[in-house]
Amino acid sequence: MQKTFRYGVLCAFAATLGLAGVVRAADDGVIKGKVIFKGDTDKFKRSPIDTSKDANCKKPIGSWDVILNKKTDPITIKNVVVSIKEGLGDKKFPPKTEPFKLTQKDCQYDPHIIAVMEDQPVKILNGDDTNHNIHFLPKKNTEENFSQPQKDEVTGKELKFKLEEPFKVKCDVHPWMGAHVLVFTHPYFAVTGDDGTFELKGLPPGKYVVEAWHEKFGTMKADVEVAAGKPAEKDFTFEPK
Amino acid sequence: MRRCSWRIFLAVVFGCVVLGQTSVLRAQAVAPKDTGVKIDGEYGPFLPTDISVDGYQVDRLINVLHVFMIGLFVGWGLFFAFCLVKYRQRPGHRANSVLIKAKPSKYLEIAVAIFEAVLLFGFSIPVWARVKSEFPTDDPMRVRVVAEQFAWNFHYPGADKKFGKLNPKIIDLVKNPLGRMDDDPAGKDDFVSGEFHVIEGRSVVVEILSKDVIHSFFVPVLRVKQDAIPGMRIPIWFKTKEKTAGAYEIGCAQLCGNNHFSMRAVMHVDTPEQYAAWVKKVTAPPEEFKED
Repeated sequence: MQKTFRYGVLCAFAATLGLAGVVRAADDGVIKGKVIFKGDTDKFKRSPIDTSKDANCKKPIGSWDVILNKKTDPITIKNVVVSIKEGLGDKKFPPKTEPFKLTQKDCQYDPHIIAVMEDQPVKILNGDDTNHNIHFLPKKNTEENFSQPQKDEVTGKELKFKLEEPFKVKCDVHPWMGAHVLVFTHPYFAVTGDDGTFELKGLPPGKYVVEAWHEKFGTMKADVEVAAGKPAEKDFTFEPK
Repeated sequence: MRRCSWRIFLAVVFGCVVLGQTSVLRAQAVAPKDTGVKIDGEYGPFLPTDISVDGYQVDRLINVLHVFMIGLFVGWGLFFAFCLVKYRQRPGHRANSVLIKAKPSKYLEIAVAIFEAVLLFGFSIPVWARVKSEFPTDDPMRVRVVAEQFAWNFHYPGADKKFGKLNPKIIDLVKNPLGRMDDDPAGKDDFVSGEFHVIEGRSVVVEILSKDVIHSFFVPVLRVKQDAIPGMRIPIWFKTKEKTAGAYEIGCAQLCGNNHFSMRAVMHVDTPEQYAAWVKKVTAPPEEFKED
């Protein structure tokens, strides 16, 4: 009897391990690619921003609505948010517990794109020796508007957005400062970096609709099929007129 | 008991004076840091430096008013103290609260009213009339000051001395904060800055506007303060004295929102050469921004 019980426990343990392995293998799907720019780059040059309204904003900064990486071939675009739009069904995902860190440095937001999950905490730091006022302008979520007059001040309260939507954030003291917040119900999103590439990891195999969002060029969708153990590649190309 | 009341009264008066004074000093102490540049001029518990040719008239008015108010305060204070002692309740006496009906007090009140009328019609209105109606004709500089929560924009008309049209619908907070129209010939050479530059010793006519709520353009060293009201263009003028080049503080004097305290800017009083160099720098065609 005791032997049978031992075998039973062992079998259950092995089955659990095996099942876990299957699940892990199943959630290893990857979609990666880059966001390409086609068109006249002269129309989308970064322009210097006049920060003379506040003499504390000393470092020269440039416009961030379109940042192209002209060193790559093809030319790629920074700050494009690529996410799964359809294909996840009704699955619920626990929110990320690691806070998203937003810094106000040199009178600009770093990073410029705040991509977070619903209920993910957001921490905001004032890295400048001047007053900043963070003003979130959502339509569905609760509006937030508060100032951070001291350098190295971090938001005291826990800031969370509960509903999926894209919206803007601005500084009421420095009119040129702006950023975008994108809230997702799932963890499958990525923001293109300096090299214009993205990678969505941990996806179960299946068919998805993937969306690329850019603050100036709009959105673009594509169907992508993810198979287990093999990364799916998908590039997006924006051709603004 | 009576002695105790007096002590409390004196302690309250002394406390108010100390608190008032320290808050003024503290406000002045933090002011230069907030602007981001070194501020010239003397700021302290008394009137700040005056760099305006007409500022002395405002100062004179303020000084006369203060002397008059101190006289009133001391006079009424002594009378108050006298009444407290003379008509107090004490053994064998009830407190007397019947009003005095005597001719001297009546004459005194009439004298005060006449003095106030003289202040208003003899000092204030002539200064106000000059400031509001007699605009300088000695080829003044013209600048539009556009207030917004919580910053100042200074719009210069350029060499043609004509302001271009503004269209709020095309405002872009990063690239076109005032909504300047490219197709307006008068606005071709206009430029906008967050710094206010004027030439020393030259008259300046300022047109004050607001993009959102009521603000107030306040330059203490010029003794200039004028509300910026949405929908209105309010002109004011001033002239700086010779040899007053430096950087001075501009503040918003009307509570305009939660960041009103940081709505500051700097007025640079330049020599003609400094001004020309600044205009050249601001109007230089922008080069593409490249990260380090």
